[in-house]
Amino acid sequence: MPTEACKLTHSELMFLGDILCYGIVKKGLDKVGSTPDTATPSDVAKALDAHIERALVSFVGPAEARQKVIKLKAMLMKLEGSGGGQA
Amino acid sequence: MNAREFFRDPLAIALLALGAINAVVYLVLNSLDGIEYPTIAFYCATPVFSALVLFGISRFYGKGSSEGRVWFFITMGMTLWAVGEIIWVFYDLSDMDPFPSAADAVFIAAYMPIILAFYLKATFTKVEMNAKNNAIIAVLLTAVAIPTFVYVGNPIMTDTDYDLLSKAVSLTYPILDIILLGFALFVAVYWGPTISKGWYIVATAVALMALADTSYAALEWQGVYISHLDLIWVASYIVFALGGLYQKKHHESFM
Repeated sequence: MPTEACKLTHSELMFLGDILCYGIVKKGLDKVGSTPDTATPSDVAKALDAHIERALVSFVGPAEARQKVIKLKAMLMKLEGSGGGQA
Repeated sequence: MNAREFFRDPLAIALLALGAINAVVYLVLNSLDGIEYPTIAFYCATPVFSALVLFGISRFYGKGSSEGRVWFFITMGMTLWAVGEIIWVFYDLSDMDPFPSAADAVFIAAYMPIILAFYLKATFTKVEMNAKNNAIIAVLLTAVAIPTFVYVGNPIMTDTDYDLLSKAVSLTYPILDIILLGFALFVAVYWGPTISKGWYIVATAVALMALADTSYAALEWQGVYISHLDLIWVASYIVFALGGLYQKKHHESFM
């Protein structure tokens, strides 16, 4: 069961299509030593820098990818502040 | 993923090799005795192999995913096209006129799952329409529709010697091709630049199919048949599978 932080990221990236969205997030979390079931908001934020943003650039271009990552990071920080990082 | 990487994929190589074999058989060996059966075998192997490649793609995405459903329905359509080709060959070898025949019913039925797949793909995410993209789609569709109407639609409709069933079947293919091309262009133009580059290739496959069907309808109406026309269908089946494969490889490189 993915954590709240992971679910939030999935819902923001679902425009890519479900399989691609889950795959990109999973690979990003792999790179930072985490998994969708255990990812905290800070893990997801690290995964955004490690892989997800780079993947997004290929799909939506650098400007939109940056915008999406900034928005997601702000949402993740808010989630962390509310203590809702874990499922 | 760049083109060089893509064309190193074993399935892409196999598809291209099948296309090359068909081209050699049709263009070079066509005049040899005893070449009829190998020609038929390679021709029919093309949609069968393309359907298998597409099935692999739908399995990669999984039937529960939106992309998986799209490729599953496309696989279903390609399989029906393969069945249609085999029935057509059966008629041909039995010295029965294959047009119009049961093969046409199967060929036409194949469009339904493919149109559904294209519709699902086109409507999966709400896209922000814009005038420039709509104009590109309209111009390309018109460029196909006008010659189709002038050289096929109008002459066949007004021909009093052509029976009603042949007229209906002849006109159904180009109409379905234009519907299919409309959806393919929509996906390619709106999604192609970002997450669906493979759909440029799929749209090309549909355009090839439209070219083959329209040419066949025009020639059949005049009582002429050029076997080299088969190569355009071969190309269409192969390009279709290559489009799916490209889409999969493109997505795979990020996962």
